Amino acid sequence: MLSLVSLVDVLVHAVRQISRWAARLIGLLLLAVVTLVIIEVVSRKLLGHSFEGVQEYAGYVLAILSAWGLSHTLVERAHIRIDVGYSKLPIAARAALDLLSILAVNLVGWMIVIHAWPVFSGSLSNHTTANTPLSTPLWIPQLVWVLGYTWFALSAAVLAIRALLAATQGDSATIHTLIGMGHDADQQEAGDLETATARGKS
Amino acid sequence: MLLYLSIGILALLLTGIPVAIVLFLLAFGVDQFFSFFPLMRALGQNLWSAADSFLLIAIPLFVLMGEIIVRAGIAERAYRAMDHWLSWLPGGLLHANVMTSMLFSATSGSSVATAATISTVALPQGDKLGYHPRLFCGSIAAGGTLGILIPPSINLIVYGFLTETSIPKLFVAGLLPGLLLTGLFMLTAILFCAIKPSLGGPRSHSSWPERLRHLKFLLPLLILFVAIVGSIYTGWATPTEAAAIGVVVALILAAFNRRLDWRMLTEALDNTVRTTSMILFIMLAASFLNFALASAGLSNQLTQLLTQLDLSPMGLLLCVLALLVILGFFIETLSMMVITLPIIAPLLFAAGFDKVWFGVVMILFVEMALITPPVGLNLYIVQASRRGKPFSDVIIGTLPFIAAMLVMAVLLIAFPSIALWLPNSL
Amino acid sequence: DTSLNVVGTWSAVSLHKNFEKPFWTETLPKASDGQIQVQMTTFDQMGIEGSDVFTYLKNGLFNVGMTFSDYVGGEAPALEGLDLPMMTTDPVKAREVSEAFMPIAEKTMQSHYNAHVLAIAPNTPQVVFCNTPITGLGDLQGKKVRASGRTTAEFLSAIGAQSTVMAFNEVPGALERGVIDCAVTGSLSGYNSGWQDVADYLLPLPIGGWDTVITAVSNDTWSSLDDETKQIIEDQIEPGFVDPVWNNLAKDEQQGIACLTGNGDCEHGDPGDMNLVEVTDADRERAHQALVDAVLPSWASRIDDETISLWNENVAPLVALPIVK
Ligand code: NA
Ligand code: NA
Repeated sequence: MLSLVSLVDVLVHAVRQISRWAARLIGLLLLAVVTLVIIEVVSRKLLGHSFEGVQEYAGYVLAILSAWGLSHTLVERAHIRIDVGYSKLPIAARAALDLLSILAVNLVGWMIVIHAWPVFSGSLSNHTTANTPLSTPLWIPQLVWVLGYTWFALSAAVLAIRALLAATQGDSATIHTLIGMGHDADQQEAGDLETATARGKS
Repeated sequence: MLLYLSIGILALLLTGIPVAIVLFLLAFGVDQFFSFFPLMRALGQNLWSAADSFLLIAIPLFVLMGEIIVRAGIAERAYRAMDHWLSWLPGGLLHANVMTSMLFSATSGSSVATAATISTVALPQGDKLGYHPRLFCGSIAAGGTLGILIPPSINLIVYGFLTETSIPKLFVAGLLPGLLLTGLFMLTAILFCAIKPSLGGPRSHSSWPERLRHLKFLLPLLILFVAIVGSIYTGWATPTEAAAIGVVVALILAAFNRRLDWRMLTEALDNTVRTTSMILFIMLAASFLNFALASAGLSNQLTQLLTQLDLSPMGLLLCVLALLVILGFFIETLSMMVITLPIIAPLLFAAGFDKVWFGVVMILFVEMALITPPVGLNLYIVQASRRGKPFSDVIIGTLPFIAAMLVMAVLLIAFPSIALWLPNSL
Repeated sequence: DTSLNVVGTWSAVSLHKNFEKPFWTETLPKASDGQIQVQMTTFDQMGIEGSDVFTYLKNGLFNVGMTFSDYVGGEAPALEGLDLPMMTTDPVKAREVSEAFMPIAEKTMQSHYNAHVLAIAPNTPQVVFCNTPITGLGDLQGKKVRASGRTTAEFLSAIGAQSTVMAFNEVPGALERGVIDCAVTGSLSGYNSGWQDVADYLLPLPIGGWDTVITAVSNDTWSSLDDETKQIIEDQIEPGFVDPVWNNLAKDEQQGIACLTGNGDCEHGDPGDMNLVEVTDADRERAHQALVDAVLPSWASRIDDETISLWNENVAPLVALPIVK
């Protein structure tokens, strides 16, 4: 049991790290979009030359952000949840709702994954291109996009497994730090999570 | 179907399941129970087509701009300066929120981008300066909606397109009601804070030398604003492109303040990605729910409902407005217009209501939909910048401003010339 | 009894309000003595992209779908050939071309979307609105022009204009403040949205084509219908939908000009006072050359050999645009 917990803890740690790096990469992509748009605006106004594709690439970056940003948001517990009922409940009931939530996230996440892959594979097999002069093959941005949702679903699965393990041990503290609804003091708690998972290991 | 929605949404939200997930689950339910056709097969394509959009890129860019000027200390000093100027007035900084939101959304044309930017910038300052969170949040959520009435406005363009109404005329018509509503919001803040001062911030009278000394801290915000507005109005950039210009100017200002370094930028980018992906997820979920509802025949139900009732013109108008309020609980801005307008517009125009006038009224109710729970995008966007604190604060704090909007609606119906005087006199 | 779910084009355009909707919800049910029941909506009311309509049709989300051939060029480039910019400049010729194109349309819809073409009909001519003075097509050289589709963008580049892509919502503002010099859109839709107030010059050439719409029924639906029902639909759609739309096109074209410029009686409201730019034979010649030199070869490179031979056999003779391999 303990070895299983520590294995999953390693996975949780990996999910956290990879999601953070993905978010950083998207951040850099956003800076690239800023640069491209500025070049486009200046060149259009001063040189009378308009670059093809700036808007198109920016659209792909947004689509990629919409998928790849989700896992980072999930592990940082930043998806908005309504606290009206939740906050009035005792700890055990909250933990139960947290588990319900993460299971719902899994359900939706995997449904999206199941229905997003055909979009990519359809574009690949039909040679679908963007309806623009650049004619970008759409499977390329769509592959990056669908991998983002897949990573989100995998992350949700890892969190759910860890939380369920914690539930079998009656460890509602870990459930809270992992998937609980954020509260005031949580800024520090988030930083302490490494400690929390380390506690699970020992 | 609306009953199913209401019960479903309440039950799911009370369990604390994330908002976006709730909306997706509801859409899945509509597919199961109300639709003859396999809507789920459209899920992937729907998510891709809605997200592959250049217009939406304005959201992360404006959020990034906000994150940068907060981390550069620019926002804090500017809000302190404004506090020196406004704290004698009941409501104090609430007025600054309303005004900056109005100016910002009027320019950017996007209420979502505005709420995201202003709450990023203002919320931390409200806490530091000791403001009660409720009205502070409410003023940002409501203030962000103002811009879709004040030109340029994407919503007015869509209204013009859907109803074949002159867009330039609509733009002129929206101006006065937009400013009037801004005034009503400020009046609301004054009223509530005068009756119960604890709803605002600490009241104090700053001396004139103090005020003048702090004036210079407003300069960076002014530069930022001029850069964005200027680039749009001089024809350098579209509102979406202006978001990129805003980021660059914010970076320059941060560098000037010696606060720009790699660590600060990484943190700003991290937060931007987190906030926007959360907002986008809710937007995409709402859009898929709209798709499910429309496919399952919501329009047909609406048509039947409205054509069965044999109403006087005023009865029809009130019925339509009540419907817009109810739909506004669940459906967001553009979708609400697209779903309802083809049904209600012909009926209303046939009953003798002015196209341009109803455009302004419609937009007012679209604004309201943005801040009415349970599905109110601006509410969630404000909440995104204050993670971990009670969401009920945002909802309760917004209610007075919703009331102000209803007052505005009554004014528009009683005095149509509020909207029509300007376009008719040009 | 047969029940059909039909998805039309933009709910706001006259094509939908005056032709699509009356045909599917009135003419057809009446002609079948109530045997055919139709629930009709539009892609914008459904909250989906026009470019996704046929994808959803293929997925079985509805029975009959309509969308603009330009929108689906990314997935089915062969359909772009139906409505190349400036390929025809008068409605009569445009209809001949669309009829000659039918074999290509059917083949493409079958192979890409598993669907059968019921009709091809135009929306409105996509003309040029400018807010800087122009005297003809040649003056677009160096101007920043907003294009909606790929072939229009290629055409504009070929005549030396800077084509930019821009969301429809940002166009009026961008035009007014000079972010762009010109934009292409339907003449009457431009009038109804008040573009005459933000643009001063109108070049009444179909630079963006005729905004042609393909109406298709999914194969699953079509094969499930009995012969009598199929016969009713096929018999009715020509006189009940296709003919009226084409017959109305010339009038719409004339009304677009009348309403935007004040040349002639405007039946839709107060006329605008845009300057009508005279179209010369030199303009038409220049446009044809751009098609021959740039647009056609580029399109030919995106389509298969079978489509090319169908084109050369059926369409090319009408418009003097053979594809040379
Ligand atoms: Na605006
Ligand atoms: Na709402």
